[in-house]
Amino acid sequence: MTDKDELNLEQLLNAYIDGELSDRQCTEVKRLASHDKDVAEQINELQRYKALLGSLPREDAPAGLIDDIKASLERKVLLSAYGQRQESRTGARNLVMRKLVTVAAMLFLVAVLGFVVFNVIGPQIRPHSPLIGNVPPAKQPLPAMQTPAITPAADKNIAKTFDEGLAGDIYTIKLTLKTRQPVTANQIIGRAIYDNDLLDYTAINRQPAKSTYSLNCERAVFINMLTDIRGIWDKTTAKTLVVDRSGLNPEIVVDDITPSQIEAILKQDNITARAELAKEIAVINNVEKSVPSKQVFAQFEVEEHSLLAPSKPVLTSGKFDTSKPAQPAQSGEKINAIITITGN
Amino acid sequence: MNVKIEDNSVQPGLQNINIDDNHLVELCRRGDTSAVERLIIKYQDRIYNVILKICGNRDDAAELTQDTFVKVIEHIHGFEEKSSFYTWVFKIAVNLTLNHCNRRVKLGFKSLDMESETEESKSAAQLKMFLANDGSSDPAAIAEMKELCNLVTASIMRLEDDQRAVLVMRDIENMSYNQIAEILELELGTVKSRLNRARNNLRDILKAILK
Repeated sequence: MTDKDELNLEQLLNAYIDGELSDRQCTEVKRLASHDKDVAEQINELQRYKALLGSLPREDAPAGLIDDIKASLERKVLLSAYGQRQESRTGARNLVMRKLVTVAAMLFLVAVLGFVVFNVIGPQIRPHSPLIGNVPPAKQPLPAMQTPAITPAADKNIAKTFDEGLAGDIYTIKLTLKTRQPVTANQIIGRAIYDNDLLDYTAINRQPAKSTYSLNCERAVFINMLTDIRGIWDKTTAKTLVVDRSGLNPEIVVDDITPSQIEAILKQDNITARAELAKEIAVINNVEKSVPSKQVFAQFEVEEHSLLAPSKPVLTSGKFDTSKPAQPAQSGEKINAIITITGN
Repeated sequence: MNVKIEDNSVQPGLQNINIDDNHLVELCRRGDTSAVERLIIKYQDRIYNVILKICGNRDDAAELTQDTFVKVIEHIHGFEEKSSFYTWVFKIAVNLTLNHCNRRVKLGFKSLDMESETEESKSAAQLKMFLANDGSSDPAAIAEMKELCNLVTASIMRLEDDQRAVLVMRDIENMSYNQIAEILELELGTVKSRLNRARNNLRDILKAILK
């Protein structure tokens, strides 16, 4: 008999003594036992051990088990109620925390979104650009002149006002240009200052509808710069030059001054000569103004001039001599030139 | 020593009270505490005895019995009456006990009463006499042999937990193979093979003692 057969036989006999076989199977086992002593002995042994186990004394449950069960149930109910209270408190706390976190997250998202949107569609902030770059294109509306004044270095000795210039030792002139295109005029002057390396020698004061450029430079350099700013003249409605008379007499005001006339004045060697020439030009310009159909020609000679018989001047209108002199006039003299651009 | 007559239905003392389990369960669901007490009284001894035979420790058995009934009462609304109430309670008890045995470190069973050398030899002699006796086995006579009972109980504890459980349910509680399979959630064939191994191993343990 194989092990498996033996195993099957054992299980069969176990089932027999446990009453788990059908009637037919029981009959078969009884027949087998009657013919096989070993099988009969196995059945007998199984029954004895089973009886042994079945005869083991039973023990009663300990006294008071019911009370212990009741106490345990009551304890569970109490703990459950306490736990529910704790859970509700904890739950409420957790709910508040979750709400706060949600609000904080939403605010953070809104802030990030706002930052992104601002960067995409917000105004571009340009870095500080040089004087020329601040002037907008011609077709754009004229911005208000809000550039703060540039304070020059103290040792540049730039006279920011005419009176200040008069008070000092430096020859001072004041040129006032009234124009309907102040932006363009400012642009031209700014460009001229830049091209003549006068940035460090210029104090700029911008006010609404008025810009003042105070230059402290060599007379010859300023004369050169006049060539660069000639383009303003046809845009101006009034151009006035105030000339320093060294305080002895009231300053001389020359209306409708031209760049050439300024140049002629400045080329005079001394203050007195400049003042005299300025007076003559003032008279001529006034006459010309009162009689616009006639042009008064006066020639200005560097060496001599006279009020009674003025010389024929160089052409003062129409064609501008835009060419710069080949060499600037030899002069180390510093002057203060205050140019004011005002809008109509 | 009181000898309990094995009975799957009602215990002695309660024979005159024909209490339907389903009716008691229904009353328990309604919150009838007296019905709860009746159920506990009806089954506490049997449950305790089975648990004791499986775990081998009285304190553990008491606690596990208590846990069993607490769990029964807590989940009585979940009793679906697919099986008898008794089977359902038994299932809870056996599962709790086997889980307890799995967690417990087996230190080797010490009989419920410490066996002295004298008792050991006495029990062996009683066993020998019992096995040699071709006459009928008188349960009462067997029960009188305290040393023998302790020996057998100790030998049962030397079996593996799953074998011991099957053996106790079959030979002490007289459960059918189907009931055992339902309680332990095993196949019928598994129950048969496990029972076979348990009986063979117990026989070998007892024969070894005789040698």
